[in-house]
Amino acid sequence: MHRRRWKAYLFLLPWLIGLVWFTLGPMVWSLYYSFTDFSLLQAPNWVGGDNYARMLTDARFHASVRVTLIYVAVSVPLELVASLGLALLLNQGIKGLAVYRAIYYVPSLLGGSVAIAVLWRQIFGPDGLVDKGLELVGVHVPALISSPGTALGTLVALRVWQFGAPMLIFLAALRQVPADVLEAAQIDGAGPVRRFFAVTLPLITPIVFFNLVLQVIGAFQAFTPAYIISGGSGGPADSTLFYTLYLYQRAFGSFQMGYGAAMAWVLLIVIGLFTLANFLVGKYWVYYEDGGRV
Amino acid sequence: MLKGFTAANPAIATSGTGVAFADYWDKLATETAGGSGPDVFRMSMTYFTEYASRGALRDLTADAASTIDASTLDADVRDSGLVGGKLMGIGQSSIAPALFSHGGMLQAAGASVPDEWTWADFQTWVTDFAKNAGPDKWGTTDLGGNFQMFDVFARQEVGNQFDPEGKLLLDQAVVEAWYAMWDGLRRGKAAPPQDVTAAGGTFETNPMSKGQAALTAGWVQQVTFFQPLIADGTVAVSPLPQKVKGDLSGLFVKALDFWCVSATTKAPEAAAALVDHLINDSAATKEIGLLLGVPPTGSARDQLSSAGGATTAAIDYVEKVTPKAGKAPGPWPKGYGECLSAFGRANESVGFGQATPAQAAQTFLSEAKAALGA
Repeated sequence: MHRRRWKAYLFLLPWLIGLVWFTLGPMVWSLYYSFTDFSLLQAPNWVGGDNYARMLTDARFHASVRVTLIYVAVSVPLELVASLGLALLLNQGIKGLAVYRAIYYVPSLLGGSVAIAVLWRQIFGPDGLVDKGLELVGVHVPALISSPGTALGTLVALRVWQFGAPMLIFLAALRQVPADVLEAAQIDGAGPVRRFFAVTLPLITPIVFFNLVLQVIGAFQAFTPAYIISGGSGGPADSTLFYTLYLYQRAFGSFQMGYGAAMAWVLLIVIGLFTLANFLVGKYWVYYEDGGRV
Repeated sequence: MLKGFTAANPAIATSGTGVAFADYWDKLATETAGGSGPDVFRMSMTYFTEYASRGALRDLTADAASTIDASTLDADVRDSGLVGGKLMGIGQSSIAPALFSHGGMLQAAGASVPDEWTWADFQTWVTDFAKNAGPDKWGTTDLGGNFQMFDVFARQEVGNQFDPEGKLLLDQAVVEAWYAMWDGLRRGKAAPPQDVTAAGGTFETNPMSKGQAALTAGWVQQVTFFQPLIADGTVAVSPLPQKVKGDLSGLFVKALDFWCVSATTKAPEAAAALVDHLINDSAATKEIGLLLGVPPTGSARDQLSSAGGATTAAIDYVEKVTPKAGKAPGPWPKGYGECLSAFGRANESVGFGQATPAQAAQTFLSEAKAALGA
């Protein structure tokens, strides 16, 4: 028995080395750095909780929190509604489903990339596609990407546009909804809307929940689009200063690795809390057919 | 560049790495921290003190007495490499703030840019130009967020921006006056609105490159970047406006880029030889050209000045301005990079109507003080 366990660890070793060396080790170091004034170029000095205390009075930190919370709160629900809506549409037994599925999935593969962020800048920038298009109907808008009132909106649109991944998961879930239950509802006189809200939606709540948790975590960590579209500044006027972008500016732009590390830990804790809250609230609206709980 | 060096010094093997400019500083910082950085690298004034004061750079004082011939450098440029009396970098370029004008637009308007004029003259000029040029054409690009061009304005009000210890010498009044001037120019449609400026930021998207603004400003060698983008006219170089007409003491000539040697280099002599090659060898001068600024030695400038066009214009400007310019400021202090971005953000907040010039000046000063104090 004992020997067998030893063998198991031997087989796990490659993975364990990776975990300790590339994940746990650096995490412990970064926790240590968060209590120091580490500048990347010099040895760190212990400063206690200074980095954490500084967040309370750092106005740009507060701006970045505000921007990130708005981004999460607006983009995640929109993305979920869009992906579920399309999944419902594609679930109508249309011809060539595989083709549509692939087409709608493509943005999810590309959406987080630098290339798309650059393209987005072109589309919403001055003289961009949107600007030119609206000009045709006689509307002149200021450059959407370079006005503080609308810049974040373009980033939300970019995220919603990547609805493909949650859509595929929804599609798989819709396939699992038993046809006999839907049929029974139809015979009882329920229309399509009623059938969706009374039968389909309750049956797929575990999947809605799964997508929600995943998307919230992803949205908190968004970095690339804001970095590329604002040229790393978080501008105009800090309107796209994502939390991760500000963290990066502090750590690499002004050599405040200690502060950056502290910000990273706060983000980790906040994401953890949001996920926990999701699980707690989930108890009241997620339904498992086998009577299981979140 | 390295090929020429290896050809002259076959005993020293070299290898170079290149990286996109946007990633240069991240890569240099991480490699330096990890002890795997290059022996010789380009350093910018913006981060020079940051690296030097943190012990990442080799003190080249001794090398300058033996291997590196720094006597060929312009005095101001050579002194720019001193941090606390130690020679931490060898200046690679002479740079000076300069005003650029779009020859084609000036010609069409029948206008000309004077060498000697006050900031008040400048405001009248750009406002009149914009009025005559019509909608979506401006007299100047928005320089309100440009901390480095603001330096020229500020030096004539408060002397240098920083004292030798890196403390901020700017006061509320001078910063506020600058923001208010640009706010007025934007409102008067003499400078582009904030969202146009926010969408720019590169040489290609600069409104002057697009034929929408007659003037812009920057470091003098940038004329060689603007010229290829402007087909219909010559880009001319002239001094920035002055507080008192003809008094150019706000201008300065100093080094912007340095060649530095890593403090942990295993081959200090070879590194020093390479630095000497980069500043004094004609093959290197030819390779580098004006990429990093106007060369800091008379012989290199002579070598390049025959190139004509924008290159000659830049070199002529430096030679013309040097005797009239004020004393060059010392090395930019630790935290300078953050001052740059804070200054731009504060101007942006005025441009988007989120703050008054007075509030923006206050925000900038408190952010700058925090950055410099750290």
